[in-house]
This record gives sequence, structure tokens and C-alpha cells, in this order.
Amino acid sequence: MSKKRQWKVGDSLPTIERQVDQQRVNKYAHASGDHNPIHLDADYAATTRFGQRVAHGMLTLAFVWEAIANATDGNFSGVTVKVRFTSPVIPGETVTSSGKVIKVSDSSATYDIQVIRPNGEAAIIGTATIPFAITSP
Amino acid sequence: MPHLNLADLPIGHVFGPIEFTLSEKESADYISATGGNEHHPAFSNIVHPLHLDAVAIANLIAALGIVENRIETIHAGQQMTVMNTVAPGATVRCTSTLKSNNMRRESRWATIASRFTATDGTTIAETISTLILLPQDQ
Repeated sequence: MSKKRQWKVGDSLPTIERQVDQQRVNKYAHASGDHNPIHLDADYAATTRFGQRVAHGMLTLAFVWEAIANATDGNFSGVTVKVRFTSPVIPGETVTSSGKVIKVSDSSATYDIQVIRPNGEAAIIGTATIPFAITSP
Repeated sequence: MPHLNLADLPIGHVFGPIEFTLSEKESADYISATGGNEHHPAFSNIVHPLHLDAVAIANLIAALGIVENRIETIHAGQQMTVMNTVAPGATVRCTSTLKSNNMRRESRWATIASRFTATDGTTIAETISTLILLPQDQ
């Protein structure tokens, strides 16, 4: 069974605001299997270009996908998300994920998406393309 | 298993395939870590699509010895297209292919495309990861 969903230019994705503390980073490392010390080891991280531990980019990106889940009732079929990680999220920061439709076609809507840090810098920028036609789960 | 040196790998190098299964608990742990609520209705019966991608990236990190060799790495970009979702407990096969591998501004930039399939061959998702490895000799 299929149904149709529709968005128009200017529509927004649900905003997600989330704190990224070190405990969350540790939990994410365990859940994802990504134990890169730049996320976990304070002594090692101090020697890197960031000078301190940084959150996994994929952890921050998950907030964007959660917003898409909220907008699509979890029907991800045909969804494409393409992003750049533009600045690191430092544990302790609260970030805000948002998106706005910038283009629609006959078959899909394209959102500009971003995740913003407390200092106003973008941690993630990119696009999400979500098809209008979906098959009910 | 010895680690691969990215500098030695030709375009087209294939990582894997690997097969993995994410249990209900592993799936719930991922949702909890990223969302704080493992009961999010959108993820009640499916594995978070990005969880699959995270497994592939963790596998690449392991293959390249990034943790053991303390190779400073930046995850610069990520693309994912989802065709189908999978339930916890389903077996997923992932094959990753090196699409580009070059030096830029004294760092090694690599793009790696991954394809996730179900046991019946159905495509679940496709991803492209861009990684930057420092220092120059990595």
C-alpha cells in the first residue's frame, strides 16, 4: 500500500536539540564500535589538532536522521543524506539540528540541513532528499 | 590480521565483504546513545540506518589500524541512501570499495563507497565516506 506525503519550499524538519557530553560519546563508542582515541582518550586527544576530545561526527549526524525519522514516521526508503563535517563538537556542548526545504520536484523534497554548535559554528552542513511517494511499513 | 596501509591501496581495493548481525540490545544501545530514548517509535522494529554505516566505518578503522597505530583521522563527509530497512537480528553483508585515494594539503584523502545487502541480495543502503588521514606518510 502506498501513500503520498508532500512538503513545500520553506517547510522545516523537526528541530532536535541534544547535549553531547562525554558519557554520550562513550556510549556511542560502545554502541558503534568506533573506539578512535580522539573521541575517548583525553591525553591522546590533547596531542591532536583539536587539542581535546571531540565527538564522533556520526553521533552528531544521527540527530539529523532522528529528525528525518520524525518527519517520515520512520519510513526511510529512498532517503538520501549527504553532509560535510565542518567543525568538531566538543563534549559538553548542546547542538541543534534543523532543516528547511529548499527545492521540490515531482517526486521529492530537498532539505538544507545543519547542526549548529553553541558558538554558532556549523558542525554539519548538507542536504537531505526525501521522496514523496512511500510504501507504508 | 596485519593492518592495511592506505597509501599502498589502489583505487578499487575492496574491504570485506563482512557479514554482521545487530541484535535487539545492540540496536537499542545505539538508539539510546544517539537519541536518549530507545523507544523512539520510528526505530521500534528496525535497526537505525546509520547504525549500519557506523559498523562499516568501525570496520574500516580496524582494517586500517587507525586506533592501534594512533593515526589522526578526520571524518570529513558522509553520504547515505537508504533503500530498505532491516530488523534487529537480520544478517547484513557489507562490501566497501576504495573510490579515491590521494594526497591533498599534506594529508591523505580517501573516499570509500559501501553497499549493504540482505541475505537475499536486496540492497539495503549505499554510503560514501570521506576520510582524511594525518600525518603525510600515512
